Amino acid sequence: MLCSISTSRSSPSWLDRLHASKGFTVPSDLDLDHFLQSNSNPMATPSSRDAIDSLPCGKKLQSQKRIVFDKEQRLFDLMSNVLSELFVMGEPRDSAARLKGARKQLNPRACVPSASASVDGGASAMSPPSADNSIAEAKRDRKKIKRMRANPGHAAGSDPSVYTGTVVTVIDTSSPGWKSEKHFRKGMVWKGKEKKVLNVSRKKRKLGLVEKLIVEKERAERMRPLAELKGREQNENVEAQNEACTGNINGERAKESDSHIQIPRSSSISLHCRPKPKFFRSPRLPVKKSSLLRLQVITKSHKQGTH
Amino acid sequence: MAPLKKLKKAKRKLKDSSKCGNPSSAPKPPESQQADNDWWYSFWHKNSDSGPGVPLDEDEAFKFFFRVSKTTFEYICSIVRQDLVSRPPSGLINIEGRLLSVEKQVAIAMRRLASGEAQVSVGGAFGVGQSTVSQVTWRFIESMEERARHHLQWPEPERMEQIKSKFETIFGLPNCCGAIDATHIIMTLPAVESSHDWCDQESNYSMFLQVIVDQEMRFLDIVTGWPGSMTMSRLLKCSGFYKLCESGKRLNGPVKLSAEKAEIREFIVGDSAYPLLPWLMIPYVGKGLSASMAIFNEKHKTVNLLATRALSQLKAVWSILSKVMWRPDKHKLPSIILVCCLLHNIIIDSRDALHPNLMLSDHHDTGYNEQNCQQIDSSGQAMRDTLSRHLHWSMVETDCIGV
Repeated sequence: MLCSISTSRSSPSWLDRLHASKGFTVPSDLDLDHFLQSNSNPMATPSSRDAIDSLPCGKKLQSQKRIVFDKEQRLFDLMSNVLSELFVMGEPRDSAARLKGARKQLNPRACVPSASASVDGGASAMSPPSADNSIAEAKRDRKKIKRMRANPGHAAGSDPSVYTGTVVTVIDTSSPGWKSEKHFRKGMVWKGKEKKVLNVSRKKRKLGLVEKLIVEKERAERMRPLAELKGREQNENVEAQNEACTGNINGERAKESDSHIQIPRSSSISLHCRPKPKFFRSPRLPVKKSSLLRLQVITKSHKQGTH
Repeated sequence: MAPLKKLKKAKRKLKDSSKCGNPSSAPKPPESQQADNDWWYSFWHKNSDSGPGVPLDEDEAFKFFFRVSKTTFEYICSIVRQDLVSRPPSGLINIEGRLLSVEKQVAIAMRRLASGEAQVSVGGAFGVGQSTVSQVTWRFIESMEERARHHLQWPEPERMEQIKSKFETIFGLPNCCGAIDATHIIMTLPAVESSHDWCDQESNYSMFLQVIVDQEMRFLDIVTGWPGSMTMSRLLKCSGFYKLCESGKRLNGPVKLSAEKAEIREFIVGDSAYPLLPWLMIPYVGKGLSASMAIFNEKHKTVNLLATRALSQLKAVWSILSKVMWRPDKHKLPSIILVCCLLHNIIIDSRDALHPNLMLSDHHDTGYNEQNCQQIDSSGQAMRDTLSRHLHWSMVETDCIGV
């Protein structure tokens, strides 16, 4: 429905605009819309052909033909109206527009107007009614990409195709246990993989319903400081990247970045507790909430029943 | 994991044979029960004419192939025996269907590490298949990683005092605890984006090995696994040793007083690729150095050479580290490097002299330009000046006594 509405709005003048954009000059007296609409019906084809054939003839002949054409058209309209009243056919005149409309994008992206399109106001004429929104979306996308570049670790969470550096196995005889896995990216190193969170999730599976709810509450509380931490982390990573770009290892700055890399950036933490932007929020969250409410209701009713 | 598959296969084979009821196909007793040294004699006779440098003397030949004396070899076998001992039905078997003895397994693994030859070649020399070499080597590495750790440890204060006094008497550096250096272990990797992180300054794919050695070129501390694309100073800062030193938990032993009654704390020496820190002394750079600075640089160089030579020796003895490895598992390679370092320390601890025919290269990182870290810490600078003045004063004093 939405599709048909949007196309019906733009349909009357789209051909004019197309011609204008391609640089064709169409005589004002030639009703091309009408030609197209009648063309959808096979019965009307010969008359339209006639109309086209008659173009190079004199004005007299042209006007005569048009009168004949109009008469035929009226007859056709009458017949189609009768038929549409008898059978459920929808609006017969809209069929061509609908077919065309189906090919159009519902939410087209902002396109850069080409030189050929600048005849009739260029972009403003070409852009659909939703163009403003699409430009805003494109801006948002660009921001998102920037954010992902600045913070590759987070980018990996949202898009696995984005390259996130290398996980290296390091043996260090001065560290406890000697062996550890760390994330590495040229100029940037940070500690990775703390398995504490994984243990919590394993526990959760074993826990009962009440314990599950308590854990849920605790996690919600934990999410707040993590959101703040994430903001800080983004700044730190940008700093670390800057240092890598300059290649200048100043003692104090190196110390700073070293202390930064100690912040645990567990992938499991990011999966469970990372505060995501609103439009990315999983539909599971409200479901969980509702189940929680339902549980409460059930327990209440159960209590009432027992008393 | 590949070894598990093999074990399953072996189990299956055994089950099948038991079903058939054919007693001849059951595994024969381990070779070790027959004769401990059978594997060695058959190996020696098979490979005695394998190259021009193979010695005629049995003990020398043993050292040539396995880098250690027979006594040290037996000690290594005793470390890993409980992990490698073949127990039917899961034990590894050779082509003849016998269970591989621990000695033969250790020999296969050590030959692979020492020669750096392809698994097929090593297998051919011992009469086993490539997959057996692969399994045996990895089992040996895993076992050594766990059971030979005591050969690579930061010394206790008592032992450290001995090391420091040796450094002072041999090289004249008071309160020196060791020398630091790093080398690249080169490998080939597929041309994919993830390989880019391993591409170093000389456009090789490599993995770093950082070592700290004592006066006997024994490794006291190692770090490996980090990509070769890092700088050496960055590698140091990523190490646990750096963090311990910066937090005052290492190189925090008793201070010594210089001739001027200034404090000389515990330190290690490194080349110009490292930053100058209160606990890490690098040489003076530039023209127009004073006499005391020149003396410091000279002493510094002799101590620093210990680390360079230790790495050269490591790569020469355990050739798997000097040959370009073809697409190794980057998570397993650090373990291989570690075990080579453990074996290096075992050789020193057991006082095994290296085989004289062993070719030591001039530098462990041939083809690599020296890095230059210009980070200078002010307290490190003060410490270096104190040390250089002390060395100059003590040299003048000895000259006076000599006169």
